[in-house]
Amino acid sequence: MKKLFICLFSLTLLLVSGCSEDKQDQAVSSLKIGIIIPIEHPAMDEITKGFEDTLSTALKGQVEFEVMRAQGDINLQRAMILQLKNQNVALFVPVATSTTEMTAAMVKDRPIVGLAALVPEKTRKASPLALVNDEITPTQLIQFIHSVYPDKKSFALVYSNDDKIIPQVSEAVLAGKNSGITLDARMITTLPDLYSTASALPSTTEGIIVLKDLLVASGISTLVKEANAKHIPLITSDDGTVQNGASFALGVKEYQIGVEGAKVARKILEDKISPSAIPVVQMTHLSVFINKNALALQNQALDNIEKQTALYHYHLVDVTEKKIGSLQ
Amino acid sequence: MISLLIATLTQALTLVPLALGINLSYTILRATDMTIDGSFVLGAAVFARLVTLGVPPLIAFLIALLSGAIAGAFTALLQRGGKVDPLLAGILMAFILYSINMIVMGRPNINLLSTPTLFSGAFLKSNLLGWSSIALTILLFVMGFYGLLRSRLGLQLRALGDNAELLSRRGAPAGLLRVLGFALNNLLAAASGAITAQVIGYADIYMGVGMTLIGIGAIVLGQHILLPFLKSHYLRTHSELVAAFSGIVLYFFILNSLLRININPIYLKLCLGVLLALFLGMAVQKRRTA
Repeated sequence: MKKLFICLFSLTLLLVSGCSEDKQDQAVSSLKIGIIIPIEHPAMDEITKGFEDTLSTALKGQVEFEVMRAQGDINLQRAMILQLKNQNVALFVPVATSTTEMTAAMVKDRPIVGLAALVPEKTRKASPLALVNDEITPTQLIQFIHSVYPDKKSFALVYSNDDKIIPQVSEAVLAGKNSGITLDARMITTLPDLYSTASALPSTTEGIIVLKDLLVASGISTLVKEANAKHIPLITSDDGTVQNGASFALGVKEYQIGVEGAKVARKILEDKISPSAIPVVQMTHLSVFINKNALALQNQALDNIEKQTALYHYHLVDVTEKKIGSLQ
Repeated sequence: MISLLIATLTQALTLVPLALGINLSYTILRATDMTIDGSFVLGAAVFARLVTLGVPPLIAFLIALLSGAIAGAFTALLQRGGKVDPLLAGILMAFILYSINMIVMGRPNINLLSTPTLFSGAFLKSNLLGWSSIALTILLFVMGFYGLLRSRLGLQLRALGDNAELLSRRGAPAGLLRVLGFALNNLLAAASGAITAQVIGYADIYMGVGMTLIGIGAIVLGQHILLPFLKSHYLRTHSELVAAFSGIVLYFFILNSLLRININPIYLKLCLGVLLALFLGMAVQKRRTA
């Protein structure tokens, strides 16, 4: 019985893999683009949507997308990259830095456009790799906060041990010092740490700052509750967290990262430009995302935010309508 | 089909030392050692940090192995001569290793793409040469491991897992053997971590999550696929190694096959888990009837 089960199971897998191979052999005339997303996250979906919308409009009928989600599993991510490689995709589009690093290590013969990613320039030049960097400098964020709240001197900066975040924290602390602000930087390593960190913030804290940090963003509700209870502003760096109850954020639209990535992809696919010859795309159009309900709950005025947004020539985006009411 | 087999083999190859290590702890020492999740990362972290500091890759690799062995030895010491459950000691050590790995790396991710590694030269020449050199390295580990298991020390380690008390009564140094066993098991996990980091191009603080469970699952799978083809009711040393290898290969074969039939990754772990549970259930049934 057991032998029969094992034989049947092996045979099924062989047939299944054989069939899928046959399907792959039926080559389609359009270019296949493989998008690799490391974890499920709305920001990643927005980036992917921006990329797909822009490229499919620009190259109508000429491209098809294969989106693969690795669910935070590096073995699965590796298998997905190998599968895309075997499917002869014309372009790899990994989202986030570690996914881009893995793709660059495994794919040497086809172009890669890393979205929301940054790798050392030496590495980038040595690989067929073009990048769209989504980071804004923490100095820009701190300067903007200081302009909005010139009288506030003590903020808490909650961050995770993400590779991109740690260097930014030092820069933010330094920028704060230069603006006369004391930043109390508090690191979390896992999501459950966030509750203890938020509860332990000193009563003198005049505001909470979050950089573009996936882990902290996942648990933003914890910080929203704390900010609402203390009537202090929760200031973040992406629109998703503002939709979920932060007062305001200075950042870039995730969708726009995908749009910029699609422009780079077009240069590679249509104009046949080598990816490493394309300079790293920096996101220059910054937006200030506001949530009027959250501002009211955290007892913050909108006037100065609007005024400073105009002074800095940023784009004001009201995301109040997309709010999650339950956070109130 | 060939591409599926190549994908399966290349993925499985880097985890063979890990499977051997888990085979040692789970099958021979009869302990579930969760330290492996941490020592896998420790191997990658130490190797990545040292090569980026300019240490020759071979020396960095050897130090990475040593660091894994030290972590394993500490897990054994935490067991206080078998008084503390190995599972608990492993979990404690995995906690400690998280901080140690962060301290070693200095940041959560170290990029190795433009850093010379043990295999980067071979991969520059051709993929085949690169994978051949990895296969050769793995073969060295397998041969060393096989030799050890066939030695007197190997027999003593097996006896320690079977009946530590009896072994002590016969005058064997059970404490020292436990330290050696756990050190070796984690040395192999660190080797896997260091090799994986070189293949995927980076070391990351989260790269070890779930590795112990994958390894145990793969070994159980391998053993119970192999058992029906053997005349005996137990595995000999060489068949244990074949089971570990075929288990890890089968794990990645199933993973890649499920991916190819476009199973949504959300359900992928569910499918894998159900399959592994089926094999585990069969294993329990087999033991009961034996």
